[in-house]
Amino acid sequence: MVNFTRKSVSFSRRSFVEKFGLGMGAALLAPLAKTLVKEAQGQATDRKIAMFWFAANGINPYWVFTPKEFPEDLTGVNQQEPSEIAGNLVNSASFTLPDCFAPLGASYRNNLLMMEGFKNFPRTGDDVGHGARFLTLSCVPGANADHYVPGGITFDQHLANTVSASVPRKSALIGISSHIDMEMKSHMFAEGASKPLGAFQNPILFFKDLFGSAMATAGGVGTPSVKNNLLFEGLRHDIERLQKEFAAPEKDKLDRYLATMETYQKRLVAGAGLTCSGGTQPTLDQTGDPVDVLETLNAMASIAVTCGMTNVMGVDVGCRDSHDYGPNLQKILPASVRGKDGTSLGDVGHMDADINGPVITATYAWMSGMVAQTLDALKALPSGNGTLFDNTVAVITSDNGETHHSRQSRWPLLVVGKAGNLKLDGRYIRYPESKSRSLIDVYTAISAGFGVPDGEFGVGADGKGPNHPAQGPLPEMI
Amino acid sequence: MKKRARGVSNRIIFGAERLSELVVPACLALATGACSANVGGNSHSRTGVAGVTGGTKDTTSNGAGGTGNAGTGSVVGSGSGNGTGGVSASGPGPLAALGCPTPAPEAATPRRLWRLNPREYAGSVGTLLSGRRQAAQPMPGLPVGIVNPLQPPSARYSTDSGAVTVSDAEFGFVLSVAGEIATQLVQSVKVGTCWATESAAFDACASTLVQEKGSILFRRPLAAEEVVYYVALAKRGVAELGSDGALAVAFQSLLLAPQFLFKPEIGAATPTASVYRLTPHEVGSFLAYSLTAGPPDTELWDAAQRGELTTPEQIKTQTARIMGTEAAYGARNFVTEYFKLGAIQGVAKTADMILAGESTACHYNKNRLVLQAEASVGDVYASNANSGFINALFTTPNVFVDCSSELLLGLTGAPPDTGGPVKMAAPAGQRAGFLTSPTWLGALATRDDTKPVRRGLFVNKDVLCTDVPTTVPDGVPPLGDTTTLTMRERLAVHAQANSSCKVCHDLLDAPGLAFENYDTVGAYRTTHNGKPVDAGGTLLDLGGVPLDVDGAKLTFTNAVDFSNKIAGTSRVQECVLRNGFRYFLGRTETTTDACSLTHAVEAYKPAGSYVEFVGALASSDSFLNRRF
Repeated sequence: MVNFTRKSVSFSRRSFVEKFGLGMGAALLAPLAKTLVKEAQGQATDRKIAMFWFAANGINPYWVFTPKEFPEDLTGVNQQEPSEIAGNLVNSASFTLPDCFAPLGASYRNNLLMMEGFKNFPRTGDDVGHGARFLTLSCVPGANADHYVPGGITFDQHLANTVSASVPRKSALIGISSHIDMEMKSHMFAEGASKPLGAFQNPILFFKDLFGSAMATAGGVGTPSVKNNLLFEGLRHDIERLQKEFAAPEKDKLDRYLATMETYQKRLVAGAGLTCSGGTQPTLDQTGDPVDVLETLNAMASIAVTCGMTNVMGVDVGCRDSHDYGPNLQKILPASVRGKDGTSLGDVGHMDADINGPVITATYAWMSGMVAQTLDALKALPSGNGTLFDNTVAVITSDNGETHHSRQSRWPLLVVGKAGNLKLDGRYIRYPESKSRSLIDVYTAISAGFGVPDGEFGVGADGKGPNHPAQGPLPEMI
Repeated sequence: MKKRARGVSNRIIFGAERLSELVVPACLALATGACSANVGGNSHSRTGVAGVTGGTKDTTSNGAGGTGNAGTGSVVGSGSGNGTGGVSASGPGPLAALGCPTPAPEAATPRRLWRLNPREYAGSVGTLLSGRRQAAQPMPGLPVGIVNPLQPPSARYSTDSGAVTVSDAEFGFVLSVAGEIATQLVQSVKVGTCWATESAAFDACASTLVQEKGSILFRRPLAAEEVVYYVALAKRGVAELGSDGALAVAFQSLLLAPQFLFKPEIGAATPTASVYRLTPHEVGSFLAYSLTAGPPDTELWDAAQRGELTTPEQIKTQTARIMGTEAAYGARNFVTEYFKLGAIQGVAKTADMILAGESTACHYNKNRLVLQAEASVGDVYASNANSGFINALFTTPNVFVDCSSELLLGLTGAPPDTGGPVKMAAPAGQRAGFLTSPTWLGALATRDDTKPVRRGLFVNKDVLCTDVPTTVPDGVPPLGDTTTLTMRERLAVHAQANSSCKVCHDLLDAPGLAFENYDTVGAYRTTHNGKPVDAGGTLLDLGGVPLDVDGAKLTFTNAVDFSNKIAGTSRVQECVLRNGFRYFLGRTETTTDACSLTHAVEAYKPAGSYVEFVGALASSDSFLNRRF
């Protein structure tokens, strides 16, 4: 059961997903919201929440815009051909929300911008498959350092440094991937010294990290704290004892281990007075059905955001060379595009037109549904004179902007929310090729809306960043 | 600043060649650009050289051009991850020229602190909960319900955790899981130990248990002051946590300690100033973790307790004993990791479903392919660990099959895929060793492309120990039609004399195209796009001259012929053994290791004994001697 008590959010995957979550809609949300309203009385009024949702391998406008907004796409079935956007800047409140974003339409049609005309070139400038992911938080093949942010941070972490400075977690990062062992944890969202907490694809581990024994007792007095304090004291003693035996670089490992422990202690302190207990641990690990896995992860991440554990949430559907993520989502695909044996049907982005479209549309509709549920929850939580939704921004797009699987600048991006002076008021904005913008400009606009200083997100430790130059916050957005 | 290095002829210099510091040889000096790795049918990416990581650094002159011999140049390195520097080159030459002077200098590598990898963590915790393992017992794993909190290192071999510590992403798990294990451990000691006695004094009983359990985790007896510390720490929690809770704190502290999560190799002082010799317990820990992925069994522990793991003979005796048991997972796993047999699980295949002619009930299955490959590794290991080991890796005509792979392998009569695969002889002339296994072939191909450049790169780097440039030039010419041309015909555009790609494709194409008799899932074929497959070739070196393989050029007609011809060569055997060094010592070799590696290779060669090789490594100066 969903058991929201004051300053305590218990989590049950089944109840959350079925009652609070997908497919059940507002009717079930309403009674829950009453409890949430009570729960939210203690929420800080200055919270700013950012959520990022990405799916692998591009969104080709041909697949998502229905009816087709652009005649040229009606014949552009070869998605590997780049297609430039001609004409002038479009900035209009009159547009059709594509089917894949329909779950957001009912409640958030007037709180979103649907945009296209952005570029996100990798460092080399080559426009290659799986490549242009500097700013989209996604993992990439580790062999190609030109395609991610080695030693640097992605925008979500830049934002988290400010908006999550005083909460237990910088972020709650989750995803599903065909590379279940390590890829997402290795490369998703950030790499190197600035790497945040792991990006989880194992619900059990995510549960432990969110609601595990140490975190569940965060800041509590008495027994749990005594235990934690003893453990941390003992660990410090052990590390310092061993440090004497080693010189650099081995000693550095112990220094980092100690720093890791201290960071964790700070998380506990930041969580003082906040208990987001987790209820029953999920039995599902990352090898489970990917739909169940992500919905479970999403439910937990949503709890983390709504109960104040973190203010930044990131989700990646499909990671690295995950052409197969779509076919694996059998539960949300129309029967017409499921594999003959019900198990697989090929690769998203490389399949025939009559399969690609429904798969991508279904995937984004599924994602949009989960975003809507989380936004609904935030909208139900009072904060100051309004709700937590009033200071929330969600970004939904693909993880790349290249021409191999998508259309480079022709990849739609949805920004939903209501934050600061951001103009998220139900418009469609289309930058033509002659005025194409960097994805950086979206992010600096969000930074400005949140009052967060600009920083060097998307730039690696070697000082290199994306090729497409930034021009500053989009005037159409702020 | 680029440094011009000397060409090195006909000798190996074992250098600081970590993945992140791959030395780019003379190829770059010859090329205006570099090499294409893009042979993708759909131009998926330019990552055809996947597996080569790291950027360029100090380039070299063309050693090969100067000498026409095996060496490909050298470069002054800047130090490896473990703080050692040295000279790096590639291309094994005759053993006599390995670079070990007489008398051999006393080698001493830095003390090190390698973290446990996930498998080692599981073996350690399993042993902690079930008690120290008898020699004949398999290594236990984590109990049901306990999730492994550690991530594997991002290195060529799972044993190379030199760059790993406990990360922010792991700490919460490590803490949480340690708590769960500690709770289980407390429950277990309530039976049959002093903890079962109500009247037992906390200090005395906790001391006994901390020493007993701690010695499993730390792989050595705990010093008296260590026991006192943990017990005192725990005792402070008795009032709040109760006795059980307090004991759990002691156990959890042991599980969090770097003395457990890392494998300290510190050594004890020797008569030679600044040189420390690994202690018997440190040697025992190394043997146990590298060979079995877990802590020492009772026999090894007892030997260490008696101080016996100090002479080469004692170490070799224990090495041979462990390698002769079923618990020698690590010894077998080297082969699995060397051939990257698990990598296929991360490769998307259209054929994940059903190959033409297969049934829906039993069909192509990547997990089963890995299982079959591991069975084959076990078979070769069981038959050849003491003789002809490397030869068997490249020549075995046997395959392990179940119904999920029988069509793929051209066989019939295989058992269901619900049990273990069975050993069968592959159709004549179609398979020879792991380079022709569907597991290896499929892992180095993509969904719809055989990727000969990837296959050729593996052969160059891992079989021949030839360095290959890592830079992809701009303006790579597109390959031709995927539906009418053979891969050889398509690749020809990159091998043209005026192409900037030629310098690399000279190295890659011949060994890569040798496997064109196998499609993207490793099924045997004689035609491609309606044309006969030509899988023959001659191995080339930089500049297009024939590669020196034991003093001769190597020409072959297909992959089976290729595998059979390279299997017995010194060049290939030494290259495999260099990889063995990297696996067992968990790091790349440096100049300090030259003599130790030379002697280990010498130990291998008379009989082709893998056991002798590992024993020699484990008793070598560069492993046993340390400096601060």
